[in-house]
Amino acid sequence: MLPAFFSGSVGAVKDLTRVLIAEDEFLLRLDAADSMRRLGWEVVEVSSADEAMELLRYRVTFDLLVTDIDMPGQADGLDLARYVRSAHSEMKIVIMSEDRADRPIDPHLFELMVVKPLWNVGETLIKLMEADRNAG
Amino acid sequence: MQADEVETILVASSDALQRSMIAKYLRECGYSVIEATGFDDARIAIGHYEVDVVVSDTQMRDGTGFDLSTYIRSRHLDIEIILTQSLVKTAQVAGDLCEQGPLDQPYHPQRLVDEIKRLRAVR
Repeated sequence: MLPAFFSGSVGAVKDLTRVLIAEDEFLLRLDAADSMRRLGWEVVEVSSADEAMELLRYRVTFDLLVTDIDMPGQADGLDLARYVRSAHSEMKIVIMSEDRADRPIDPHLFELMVVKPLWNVGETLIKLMEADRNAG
Repeated sequence: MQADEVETILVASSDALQRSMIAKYLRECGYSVIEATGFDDARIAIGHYEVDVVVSDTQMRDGTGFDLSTYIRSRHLDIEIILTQSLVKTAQVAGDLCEQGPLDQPYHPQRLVDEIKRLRAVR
C-alpha cells in the first residue's frame, strides 16, 4: 500500500479536500487540524505565513487555506492571503481573527472569516467547499 | 517496542515539507501523529498529550532536539526519543516505526525520500 501522495502528482486526488492551516497557537492549530482530519480532509499544518508560502512554492497544491492573521515572521496572514490570491487563485481562503472588528480587511481576500476560538465551524467549511464542487 | 503499545508519535521539525510528509506517512501507517513546528510546540504537546514516541530534528528554529530530549528526561517521562539529522535518516525512522505499525505491508521509506526530493527539485 502506498500513501496517496505517491499515486500521482501531489494534490491530484480531486475528491480529497486538501487544507493548509497557518496558525502559531499550537493547541488551537492542532485542534482545528484534527477536526478537519475527522472530516476526512488532508491537512498540512504550519505555524507562520512565511512557512506557508515556502511550502506553496514547492508546488504542493491545496483547496483551502485557513489562516490566522497575526503570526511571527516577516509576513502575516493577510500577506499570505494576498499571495494565495495571486499565485493560487483556485484556493479558497478562510481567515481566523481574534475580533471581527479588529481591523478592516479587504473582503476580496477571503471567502469566510471566523472569529477565534473556533466553535462548530466544520459544517460551514463543508458547505464552503461543497459549494465550489457543486458549481463545478 | 510493540505496535499496539505505540499510539501517538510527536514529529518535531521546523521543515514544513519534511514534517508534513513524514506525519502523513505515519498516519497512513495507523499512528496518531502530532506535528510540532519547533521546540516550544513540542514542549506544549508533551504537557497536554500522552506521547509515546518523539521523532525530532536535531536543529529546529527555536531549539534543538537535544534541548527537547533534556526537557523530556528532566521530567522523567516515559517517552522514546529518536533524534534525526537528515531526510534519509528521518524517513528510515518513520519506515521502522511503520514496520512495527498496524498495517500488514508497510511501504518502503525510500519512496518518501524520493518524493520529498522530487518536490524540492521542482520548486
